[in-house]
Amino acid sequence: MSSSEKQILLRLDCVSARYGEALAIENVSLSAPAGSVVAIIGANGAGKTTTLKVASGVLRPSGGDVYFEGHRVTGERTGNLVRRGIAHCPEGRGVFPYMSVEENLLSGAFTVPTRAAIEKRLTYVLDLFPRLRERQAQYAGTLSGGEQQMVAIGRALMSSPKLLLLDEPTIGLAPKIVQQVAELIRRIRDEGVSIVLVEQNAEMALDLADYAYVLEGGRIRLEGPAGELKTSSLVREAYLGI
Amino acid sequence: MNKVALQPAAAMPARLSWAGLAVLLALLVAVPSFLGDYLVHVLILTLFAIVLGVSYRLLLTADAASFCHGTFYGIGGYTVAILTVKAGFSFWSAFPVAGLTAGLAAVIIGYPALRTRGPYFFLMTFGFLMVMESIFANFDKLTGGFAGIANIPPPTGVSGVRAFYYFTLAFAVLSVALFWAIDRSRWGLELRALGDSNDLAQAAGISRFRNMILAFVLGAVFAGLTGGIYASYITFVAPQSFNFWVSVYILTYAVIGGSRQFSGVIVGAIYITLLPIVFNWSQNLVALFVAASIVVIMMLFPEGIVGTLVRWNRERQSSSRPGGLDDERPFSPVAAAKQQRDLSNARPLLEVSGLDKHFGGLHATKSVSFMIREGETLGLIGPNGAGKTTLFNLISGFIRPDTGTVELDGVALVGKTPDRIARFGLTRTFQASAVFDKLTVQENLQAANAAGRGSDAEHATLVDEVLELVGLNAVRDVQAGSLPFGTKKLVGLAVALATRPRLLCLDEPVTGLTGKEVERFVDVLRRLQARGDLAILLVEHRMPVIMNVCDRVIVLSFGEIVSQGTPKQVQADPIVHEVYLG
Amino acid sequence: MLTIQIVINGLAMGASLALVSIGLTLIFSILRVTNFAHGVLYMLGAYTVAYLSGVLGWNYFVALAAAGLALAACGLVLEVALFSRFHGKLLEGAVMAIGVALFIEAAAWIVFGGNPRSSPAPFPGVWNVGGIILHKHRIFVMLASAVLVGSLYLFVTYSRHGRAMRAMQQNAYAASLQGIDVERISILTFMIGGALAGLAGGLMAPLQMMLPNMGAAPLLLAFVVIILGGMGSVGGALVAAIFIGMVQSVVISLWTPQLALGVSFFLAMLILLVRPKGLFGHE
Repeated sequence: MSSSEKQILLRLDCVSARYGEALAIENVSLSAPAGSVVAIIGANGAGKTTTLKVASGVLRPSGGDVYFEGHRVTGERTGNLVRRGIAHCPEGRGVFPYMSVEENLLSGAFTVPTRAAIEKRLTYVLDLFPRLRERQAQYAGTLSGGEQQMVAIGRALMSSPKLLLLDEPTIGLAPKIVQQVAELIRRIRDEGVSIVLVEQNAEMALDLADYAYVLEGGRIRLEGPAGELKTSSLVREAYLGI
Repeated sequence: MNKVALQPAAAMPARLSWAGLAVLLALLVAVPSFLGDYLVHVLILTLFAIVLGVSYRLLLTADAASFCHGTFYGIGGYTVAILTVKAGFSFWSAFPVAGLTAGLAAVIIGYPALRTRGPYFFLMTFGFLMVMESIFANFDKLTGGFAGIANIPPPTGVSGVRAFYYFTLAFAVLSVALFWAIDRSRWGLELRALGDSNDLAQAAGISRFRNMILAFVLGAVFAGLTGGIYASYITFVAPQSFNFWVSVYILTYAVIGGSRQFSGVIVGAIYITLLPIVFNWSQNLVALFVAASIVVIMMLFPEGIVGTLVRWNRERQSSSRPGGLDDERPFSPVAAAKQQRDLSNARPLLEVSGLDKHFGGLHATKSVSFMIREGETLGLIGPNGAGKTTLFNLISGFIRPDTGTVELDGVALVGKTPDRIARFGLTRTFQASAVFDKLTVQENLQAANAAGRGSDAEHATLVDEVLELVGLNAVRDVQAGSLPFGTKKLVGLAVALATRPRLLCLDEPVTGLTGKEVERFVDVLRRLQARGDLAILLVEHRMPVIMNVCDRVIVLSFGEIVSQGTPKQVQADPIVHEVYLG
Repeated sequence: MLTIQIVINGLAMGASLALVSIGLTLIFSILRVTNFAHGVLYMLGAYTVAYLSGVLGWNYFVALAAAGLALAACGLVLEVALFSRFHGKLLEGAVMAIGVALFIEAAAWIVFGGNPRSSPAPFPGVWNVGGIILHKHRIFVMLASAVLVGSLYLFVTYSRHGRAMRAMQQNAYAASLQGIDVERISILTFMIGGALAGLAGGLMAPLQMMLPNMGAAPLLLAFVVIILGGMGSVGGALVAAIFIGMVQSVVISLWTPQLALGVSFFLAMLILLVRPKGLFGHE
C-alpha cells in the first residue's frame, strides 16, 4: 500500500530543534498518512521524544516547518493543535496521580466544547477499555504500569484526535503487558485514528507499523515500509553498533 | 566551528583597587567631623545594616534563604541588655556572649531546619522567628515583655554619637573584611558550588550539611554581635525592634543589590537604609519608596543593582570567538580498533553484591552483583527504564539500597553520604547539570574536593594537569554555563577528575553531542585509559562508543543483569538482541 | 460552658482563616509563588466593604460581593503584570510579593489614615443560648465561609477549569499536552485567591477595628496553616485552619493573646520536623 495514495495528515519538513544548547534533532523530515501507523524507532537519546514534542507544539523548532492536514502549524500552541486533532500521550504515561481514572479521562477533554460531547466520549473510551471502567473511581497513581498506560491513551483519545502521538507506550512494562498494549494500539488504529508511535522496542514497533523511521543521533538514518526494515541489518546496526 | 560569545569571569568578585579602598576608608573616618549628629546616627544604622547583610549573604550563596536573621540580631541585642541591665556585666564582657548566644540559637534551629530545602527551610526559619518574637514579648521576667529593657549602658570608653560611630565603623570594617575574605576563599567557593548545583557539589566531594550549618552559625554570630552594639547604642530593646520586618529587610538588601556579587548586599543595604532616612521622609513615604524600589528592581533588574551593572559591563566587553578548545591535537577516530587489554590479573576495585531496591511497588534493582577491576573500563547498557540511573545513584550514595553491599577497595560505601564517597575515590558525573554554571572552568575544578587533597598549591597543580589532559586551557576563565554543550560535558569530566577518583562513573557522557564532540570525548577517555590507574564505569547508548572504549560490558534489563562479557560477546548474545529489539 | 464558647470562637476564627489559607495554598501549589501579598488583599477586602456599606450605604451583601469581584480583578492584575514571570522562582517571587505587600500597605496608610475604622455590622447583637454567647455575625461568618469553601470545592472537583487547575498542580507537562492553557489557569488561580482573601477580609470587617496592617496576622497564620496542612492540599488547609483557629481560641482565652501566634508556629514547626511535607502534603 503506497503512502502517497493517502492524505498526509502530519508532515515534518527539515525540522531541527534544541534543548537549551544541545541540538536534539537535525533536519528531520517525515510524514504520517491518514489511517496508518508510523513508527519512529531508535536508541535512547536519538531524538524521538523531541520529534513528538515539535509535532504537538510543546517545543518550537529552531528550523523547518510542521504541517497538519496541509496547513502550516509551526509554532502554534498545543491547545490549538489539540483542537485541530493532534493528541500527545507523554513518555512515562504522565497520569495525574491524585485524580481518579475518570477524572484523568475528563481532563483529556479540556478542549471539548459541550458537556454532552464529553459524556459521549467518556462512554466511548470506557467501552474501549473495560478495565478502566472497572477502576473508574480509583486514584490513577495506584494503578499498575499497564493500566496507567491505558489511562494515558484513553485520556488522549478524549479529544477525538485524528492523530495520536504515542511516546514509548511500552517502556518499563513486562513483555506480557507489552503485547496487550500492542493490541490496544491495533484497536485504536482500527477505529480510524492515525498513529505516530515512538518506541525503543524495535520489533514491537515494526510489527505494528506500516512505515517506519530510524533516528540516530538526532537524524533520520533510515526509513521505509516496516516489513522491509524488520529484516534489515541496518536497524540492528543503528541499535547495537555492529 | 560554532561561533559563540563566551562570557569571561563574571562570577569572580570585583577586583579591588586598594587605593580606592584607602580613600573610602579615609572618607569614612573623616566624615563625622563635618556632618551633623543626625546624619552620623544614620550612618551608624547603615553600618549595622551592612554587617547584617554580609553576614546573611554567606548562607545565601549556598542557595539557602533563611528568614530569621533579624531574630539572631534580636537575640544578641537582648543578651547584652539582660546581661548589662539585669546582671550587671559590663558591655565588653556581654558583647562576645551576644555573639555566642546567637550562634547557639543558630545551631538549635539549624540542625532541624537545614535538613529541609527551599521553601520548607524558609518556613522553618520563619517559624523560629515567630516563636522567638513571642518569647521576647512574653517572657516578662527576663525580657521585660512588651516594654522591653531600657537604660542599657554604653560600652566603657565609648560615649556620644561620634565615639559610637568609630566603634561601629571598626566593627563593620572588620566584619566586611572577614566575610569578603571568606567569599574569596575555598570555603566561599564550596558554598557557591553548593548553591549552583547541590547534587553536583556533593558528587564533587563537597559536604552539604557541614558547610551550610557553619555558614548559618557564623552569620548568626555576627548578627548577634551587631545586635549587641545596637542595644547599647539605642539604650533600649523591645520586641518591636526585632520583628518580622527586620528579617524581611535583610533579605531585601541581598536581593535588591544582587546576591551574586559580594558588593551587592552592601549596595542594597545602603540603598534601603540610607537613602530614605537621609531625605527625611515620613515613615509611610519611606515604606512606599522601599516597596516601589523592590517591585521595580525585581521586575526590571532581577539580578539586582550590582548584578545588572556587572552584566551590562560584561556585555559591552564580550567578543565572539570560536568555541575555543585546545584543538590542535590530533586524535584517533572512534572507529579505530581498540587493543584488547589484558586485565585479568588486576585486582578487584569495586565489588557490588546483591544490590536490591524497591520504590513502592516497583522492584527497580533486582539483586545486582558485578565487579570492576583496577584500570578496567566497564560499560553498562540497557533499554530505557532498565534501572541504569538507579544503579548509579545506589553506588554513588544518592539513594540507599534496601539490601546489598558496595565495596571500594574493601571499604563499604553503603550508608555514606555522596560527598564522602566522592572523597573516598568513587566519583560520578551527571547527565543533566554537568557543571557549575556560574563558576569559571577553573573554579569548577578548584571547588572539587578529594581525599588526600593536599595543600591549595598541590590541588592547583592537579587542576592544571587535568585542564591540560582534557584540553580546556583555552577556556580556563570562561563562565562554564556559557560554553557550548559539548565543552560543558568535558568540563564535567574534568571536575570529576579533579577529585582524584579511583573509579570514575560516567552517566551518558556523550548524549546530545555532535559526532566531532563525541570523538574528542573518546580521545580523552583513551588517554585516561593509557595511564592505567583509573577504573571507569560508563553508561551510554551510543553503541560505537561502548564497543570501542570498554573492556567489558554488562547489560541491564528490568533491574537485573541479563548478560555480561566482552563487547563482542555481548553484541552477539541473543538475549541482548531480544532485550533491545524486542 | 466556657469550653463551648472557646470552640465556637475557634470555629469562627478557623472559618475566615480557611478562606485566606486556601487561596494561599492554591497559589503556592499551582504557581509556585509564595504570596506574601495575600495579607494586603485581605485588608483591601475589608476596607472595600467598609467603604461601600459604611460610607456609600450599600447593602452589606452587595458590598461583600463587590469586594470579592474587585479583589479578583486585583488578583488578575497582579498575576498578569507582576507574578507571571516568577512562577517557580521561590525566592524572587517571595521578595516581589513582599514589595507588593509593603507598597499596598504603605499606600493604604496614606490613603486611609491611621485611625482605626469600623464597618457597620449587618447582624449586630448576640443570641444567648443557655449561657453561651453566640455573636450573630460570627455565626454568619461561619456559614458564609462554609458556603464559599463548599462552592470552591465543587468548582475545583467538578468543573472543567477546576480539574485543569488540579492537573496543572500534579503534572504541569501532561496538563499542557491536554491543551490546558497554563497562563489562563494561572490567572484564574490568582483571581480565586484574591477573591477569597478579599471576602475573608470583608466578612471579618464588622468584627474588628480596621487598620492598614490588619492583614499581617491572618497572613502569618495562613502560612502556619498551609505548612501544617501540606502545601497544595485544599482539604488539608481546611482542617489545619480549623485546628489553628482552635489553638488561637484556646491560647487567647486560657493564656495570653500575645502568645497565640508563637504557639501556633511552634506547633507547626514540630509537625514539620516529623512530617516534612505537612500533614496532608503530597508533592
